[in-house]
Amino acid sequence: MASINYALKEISCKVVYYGPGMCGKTTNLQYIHQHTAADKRGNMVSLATPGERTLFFDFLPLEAAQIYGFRTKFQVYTVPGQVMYNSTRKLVLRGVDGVIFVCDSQWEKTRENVESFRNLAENLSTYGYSLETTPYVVQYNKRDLPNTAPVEYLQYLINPRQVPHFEATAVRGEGVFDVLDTICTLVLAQMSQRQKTGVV
Amino acid sequence: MRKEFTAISAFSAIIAYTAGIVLCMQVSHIESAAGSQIAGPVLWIVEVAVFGTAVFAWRPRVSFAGWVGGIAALEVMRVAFVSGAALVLAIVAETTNMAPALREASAFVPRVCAAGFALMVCYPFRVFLPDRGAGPRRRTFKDSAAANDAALELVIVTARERAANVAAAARGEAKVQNAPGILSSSPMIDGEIELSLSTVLALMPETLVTDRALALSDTETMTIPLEVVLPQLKEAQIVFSVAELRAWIPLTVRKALVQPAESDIEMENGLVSVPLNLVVPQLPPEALELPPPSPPAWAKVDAEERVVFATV
Repeated sequence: MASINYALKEISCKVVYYGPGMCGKTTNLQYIHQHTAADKRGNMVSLATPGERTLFFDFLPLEAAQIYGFRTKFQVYTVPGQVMYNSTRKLVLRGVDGVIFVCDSQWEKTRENVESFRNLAENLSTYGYSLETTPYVVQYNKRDLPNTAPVEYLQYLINPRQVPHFEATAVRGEGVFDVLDTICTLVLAQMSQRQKTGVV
Repeated sequence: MRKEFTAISAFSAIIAYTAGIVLCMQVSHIESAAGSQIAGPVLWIVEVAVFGTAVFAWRPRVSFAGWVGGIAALEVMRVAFVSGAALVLAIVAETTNMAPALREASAFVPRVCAAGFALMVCYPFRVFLPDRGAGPRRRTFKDSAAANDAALELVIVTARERAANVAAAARGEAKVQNAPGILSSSPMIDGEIELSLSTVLALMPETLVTDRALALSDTETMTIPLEVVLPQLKEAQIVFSVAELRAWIPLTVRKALVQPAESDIEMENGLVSVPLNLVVPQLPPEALELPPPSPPAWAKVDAEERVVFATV
């Protein structure tokens, strides 16, 4: 969970990109790494197979603007999307503060999206978290491809509660920072609310 | 415009109409003993019965209004043939009095020809006949009190019902895995979706599809009721058993498929996944209507307080 270091005046949060295999989670992170000011990010760590499939996770430390004199640091992770790596996904979710669910917009991937979303809910529940209490946003990725399902249907499948959602083309950077900014805002807002109510 | 009714169908109808008039005109010269013996009302009754059967055979799911309309259309077409033939006869005889020509063209033999040609001309238009709505589901054995009685050990289930059960079980299994936040119920909307028959046949096991069925399916379509599609939408996959799909295939093509008795029961129970991109675009907007937004408490954030990362 998010931690506040009063001595160093630092807030640290964990954000995870979640979604089915090949939906563009690592592409999101790579774009963020390439387009963030060098002094506001650390090195990106990628544990991938030779075929560029995420094996364990990708990690990118980021720093946002100061809030009330506190430096806000975000540790951004991706999970391996392949079904067989569920234990790794579960591990990466430990202590998560916010989730970006990346949805592959292609027709043939709709079922995988639904299964991955269910897997997210299931894995969160193993730590006692839920989608009710963990901020998440939905990114409909690969909108540039010709065989994409309409957003209305994807919303019907993944996001009937209508939490913030964005259309994106991560490979071109469209919608990448919108999603990141939103989830970080939601995470910090929730943390602030918890501080006020004394629930940490 | 339905897919089956093409310019070729229209052209064929015009050719058939012309040929029909010529034939009626020719056969009206034939002396028919039967014609003199069969009374007009009997001819009408037989004609309506034949047309009624034809309409039902063309479109088994036709509504009552559609059925009556179909018979009426066939009768109008038959009268058009007879009138056309009479008109040509009057022109040939160089007379303005149509009555004798009309009597001649309305005799038994030309009338049978006219009826036959009316069937030919109207056949491509069958796709415009409205189908019955969802309506009350036909009662099957498994709905009966006997089948529901747990004390009974012997239950007779037909191959089709068994296949439907298998498909329903497969769908039900997925339903159990519903994740939080995913819609748990689907709205009840009447209607149907239309699929190209050649596409559906391509999805079915190859051993079931004959060359004749493929040839017949070229311009045909099939319809699937929305009531069986909507509950599957939230699973992002639409599956039916082969037996279920077979029941929706138009009769002519269905007959050309390898029949269930000849095929493996396992094959009949096999599931066929219908591509979503063929189904979802045809759905009425209310099918994908979301409930009023109910975002969790954490989602209510003032937009002024956004975190923005410094980008290059």
